Amino acid sequence: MLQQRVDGDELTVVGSINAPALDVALLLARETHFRHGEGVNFAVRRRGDDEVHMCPDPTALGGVIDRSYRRQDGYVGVGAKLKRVREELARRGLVIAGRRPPAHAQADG
Amino acid sequence: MTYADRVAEFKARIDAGQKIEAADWMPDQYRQAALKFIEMHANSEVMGALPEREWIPRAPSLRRKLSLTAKVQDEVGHGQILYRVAEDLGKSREAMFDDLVNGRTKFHNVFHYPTETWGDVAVIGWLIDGAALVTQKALLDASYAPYVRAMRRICPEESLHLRHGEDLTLELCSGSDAQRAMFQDAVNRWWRPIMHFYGPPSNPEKDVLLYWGIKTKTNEALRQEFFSTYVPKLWDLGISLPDSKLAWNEAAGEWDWSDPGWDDFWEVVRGRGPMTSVRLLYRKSMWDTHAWVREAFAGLPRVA
Repeated sequence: MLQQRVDGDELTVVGSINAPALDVALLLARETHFRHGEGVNFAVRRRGDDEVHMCPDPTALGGVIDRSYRRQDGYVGVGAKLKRVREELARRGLVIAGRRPPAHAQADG
Repeated sequence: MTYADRVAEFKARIDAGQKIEAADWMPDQYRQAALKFIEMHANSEVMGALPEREWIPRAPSLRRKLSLTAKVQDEVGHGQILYRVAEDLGKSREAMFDDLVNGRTKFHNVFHYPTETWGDVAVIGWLIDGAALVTQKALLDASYAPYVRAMRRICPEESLHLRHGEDLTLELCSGSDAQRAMFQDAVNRWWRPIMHFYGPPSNPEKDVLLYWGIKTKTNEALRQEFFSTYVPKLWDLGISLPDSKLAWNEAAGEWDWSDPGWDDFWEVVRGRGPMTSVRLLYRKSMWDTHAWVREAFAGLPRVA
């Protein structure tokens, strides 16, 4: 399997699959390596051959099921949420004051 | 050139930072060690999806159900990618499945335990996936190139799973007293399996995986990295850990921690964990009932 990350990039090898036919190889490649829409195109090449078979419809990369999860929209803002919760718990006096590395100083109340 | 000369040349390549491809010559010991390690990793991805899968029907909202379903799909997908890498080392997928369900090969210790509450799902998504990510990021520097490529594919998805787990954790920790208690209870029950995650302290000099660069960090280095990343965060969330000795030792520059006891770890290794047989039975059932899918894919008639 080969991947093109962005327009203009060379195809690079990203893995391999077993498949009995080209269309199955393209299907399996998409499902195992590109279902989250990674890159702009992909291709398969039989091991030992030079001929590269491009995905005929790269616009289908990623599909539509669970899109918000796949685009990480479902978890945008986790860092800010962590900060907010830590501050709230510190204010309530719930933070545990264990000995920790200097880089992980206790959250302020 | 003798076999010993070829082995020495191969080791020199690894020590010089070169990567090994599937078609390259490799010593038998390297091939066997890489196969065993990657096969167990593949088994663990597939078996690791089962404890979380049990909670898809019981997820507390549609959004959580959707994200958990996607995560389970990802984990099984990681298994498919890794089985393919292992196949190139000389063992068929059917043989790997047969060895797994018959107890001849292993899957990770943390996936042999029951998931009792939604708090367990948060612990798995944040702390166990976090422990796994510490390990998997270290494998990005492994010597076997196909494995490194698989890790480049898998690690970004695992990072996403971590955010999923962190989001669940924050929801419980900032929620009602009952929600906080649920998460605390889950951490109490899972802490020991998490301490077992990296295995018992061992002698790096005798670790064949480290010798060949298939693994790049010792069990203890990985465990210490896990402590530094997650223990302060847990304390900041007001979650206590069931280890009175656990603390950063400034003088030693590392964490002190209590020996958790290893009896139940070895029981799990021997295939006698609390959920081992149930999950293997389920895995076998799925393999059998979905045989038609494999047959359909493998038996497509060639176009004339």
